[in-house]
Amino acid sequence: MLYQLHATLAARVVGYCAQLGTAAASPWDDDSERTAGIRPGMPLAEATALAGYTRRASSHGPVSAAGAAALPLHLEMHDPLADRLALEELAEWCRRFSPTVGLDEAAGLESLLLDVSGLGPLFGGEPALAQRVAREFHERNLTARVAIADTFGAAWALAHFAALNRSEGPTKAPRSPTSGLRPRASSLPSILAALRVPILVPEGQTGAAIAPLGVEALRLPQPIGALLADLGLRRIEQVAVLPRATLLARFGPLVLERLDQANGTVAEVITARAVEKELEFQWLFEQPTGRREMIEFALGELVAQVCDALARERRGVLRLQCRFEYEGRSGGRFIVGLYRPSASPRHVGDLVRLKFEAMRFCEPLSAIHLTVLAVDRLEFRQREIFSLEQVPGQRREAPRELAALIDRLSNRLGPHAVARPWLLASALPEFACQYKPLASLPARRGGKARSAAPTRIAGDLPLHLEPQPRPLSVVSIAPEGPPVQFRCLGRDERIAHVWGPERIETRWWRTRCVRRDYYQVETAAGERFWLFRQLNTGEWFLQGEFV
Amino acid sequence: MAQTIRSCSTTQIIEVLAEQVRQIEGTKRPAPTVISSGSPALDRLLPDQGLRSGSLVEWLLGGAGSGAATLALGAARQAAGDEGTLVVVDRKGLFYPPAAANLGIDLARLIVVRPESDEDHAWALDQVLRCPGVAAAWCFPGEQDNPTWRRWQLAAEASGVLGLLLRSAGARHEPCWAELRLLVEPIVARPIGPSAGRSRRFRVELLRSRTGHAGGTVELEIPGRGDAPRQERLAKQHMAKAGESNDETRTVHLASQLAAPKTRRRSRRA
Repeated sequence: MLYQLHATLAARVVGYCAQLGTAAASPWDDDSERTAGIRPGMPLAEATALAGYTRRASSHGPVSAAGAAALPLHLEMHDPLADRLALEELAEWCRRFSPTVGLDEAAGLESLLLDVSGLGPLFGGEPALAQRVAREFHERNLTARVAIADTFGAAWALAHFAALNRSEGPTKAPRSPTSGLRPRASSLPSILAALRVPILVPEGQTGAAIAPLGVEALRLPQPIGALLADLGLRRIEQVAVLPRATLLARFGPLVLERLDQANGTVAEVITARAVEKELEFQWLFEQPTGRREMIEFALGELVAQVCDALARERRGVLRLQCRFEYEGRSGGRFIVGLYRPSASPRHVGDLVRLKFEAMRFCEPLSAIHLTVLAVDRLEFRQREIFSLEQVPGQRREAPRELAALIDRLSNRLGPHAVARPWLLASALPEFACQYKPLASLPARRGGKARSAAPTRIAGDLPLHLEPQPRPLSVVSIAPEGPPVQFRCLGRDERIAHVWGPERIETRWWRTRCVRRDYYQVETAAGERFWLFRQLNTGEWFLQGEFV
Repeated sequence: MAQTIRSCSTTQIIEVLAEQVRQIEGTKRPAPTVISSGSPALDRLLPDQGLRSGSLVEWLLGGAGSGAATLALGAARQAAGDEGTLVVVDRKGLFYPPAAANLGIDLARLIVVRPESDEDHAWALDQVLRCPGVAAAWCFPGEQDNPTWRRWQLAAEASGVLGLLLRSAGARHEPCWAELRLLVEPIVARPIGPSAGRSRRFRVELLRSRTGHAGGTVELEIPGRGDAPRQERLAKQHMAKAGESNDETRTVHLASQLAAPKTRRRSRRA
């Protein structure tokens, strides 16, 4: 017997994908009052505009662009890797309910699969188990939709598409097809409460339970689903009664396979996540000591033990926690993160020492604990006897050496201090680029780093850009004409050449409406600067230097 | 060897010892390669016809918007080639990657390090210069003591990283630990016609070289957006101004090396 969780963030989530620029899903999509008409898949610009429009309409009066920005619309970059890591963490946590926990890899990584065959009595019955799962997810500020059925396919279908039940206690069967997650007019708490009500399908009644659901509950690709819809086949029961030979001939083997998997005719197994052995080593001092050389020696020994244990399994450490203990109480801790997995005692030891140098202890230490928090497979590459690569930074070892450099820099300076720039399609210079910390994303195996997109912004740009434009005192002949002289940092600069203006206007639905006229100016000494005049106020600013 | 040294003058002894040190250190260092600075004219000015990997090169800024950093970044791009990684150590948080992208730097192979203290800044640059996986480092090092400079010099020599260090012109009288010291001064654009082009002109002077004679100068020009026709005109005007061998003054155009060549508008082509 299987049950499934459909975890949904209990917040108004409107994000966008960096590549596609689309709005992400929220569980109450049709609640126009709450979502301002924003739907999954909608372009971000459209979603943002809708939010601003709703704000204006509800304020009964003219609202400035800045006022529109005050709408509590939370924008977040879509980070698939972070999503996966979070779901994997949840999967580990779910081992308290079942020893077999898997991720639903096929359907967008939003579900956890647990095999609870025979586990019901341990929790006081399956209804109690399902309610406990939902409750404990709720305590983690997550709303999980729990369904227990005979098959994985049926549990998945019910968790995603069964109608919401507002009554207390687990429901025995779904009420209506498809849009079960889309109540028309409900308050947010009632929606979340309804989502938390588990769905239990009695043994042997799986077919009847999924029959009224829509065909999308069969996890079919979109073209097949669209073809079924075109033929008027909208519910599973309509498809199930058709001759199998016809289904096979018209739609291929997948429809039959999904039907059989949902009904239990064909077995479908959960690919369980491997149980990570907790790797922890400790060093107990005979006498509490405050001598740093002794502590460093002990750390080196522990690191060597960790690396030795991992290297035997061809794995390397990605995240390591070092915890210190005074006599009877905690003495602080730090975490070391790596860009690539490593089982090199020297490299990991260097990173640990970097962190250790910043630690201060107020009394002697009695023990040190080293715990491996994350590991990954080591990447091996055969060495070359004759290597003709002479250019620094272009040798085969360069990625490994770079990873070691990133580890060292990130661990001492902080992950946000070591980053890769990423261009954004923004006309406003200060928003045309963002930094992505290298340490937050594990190095991808094989292949080269992908180029950021867009890769180039039109126009001459200064290599130095002031984070905050510096106010200037500027002399210009005409009121809105080009500058002829400016004063900056107590020095008067006479302008010999001016190029511009280049007008930059932000879109009205951005945070603020910005209108600027940019000028590239060259002083009498030949130095180049980038100035702009704020069209709203007429003030001048220095934004960049062509250093 | 001891007998040989005893019979020599002090100067000769120092030279012999220096040669021995070079031989000892040389066994551990990667063989240096010569990297183009991105400008053939500037290459001709340099003793090795380019910049040597594993060395530090100081670019002195003759003013806030002098263009020295742009030239240095062009050299860094040459050092990185198609596969290498460029590291920018940005203490003040002023570096603007879109401008680097416009100069042809691949941002996918660019790492920006932003230390928050001077101590971290010196340490970070040392680590970068020590990493053989880096092709070139670009940095405004600020004021540093001699041991730090020596450490950076040894780190670059050991790893083969090309260190491009940007300093103010006030540092020209300070001790130099770099292989080359270049002073970059801007030249005011010449107003031709009703609107002058955006091309930038520089005078680069080789102030110091550890391996050859210093003192030469060269004039360079970087075209601005849509300045290609003017470039050609200027090139014809100034190419005739060839100076003496040790103080040559030439105008050479870097359109294909340093700046992103922009195709002309279709309307202008006719």
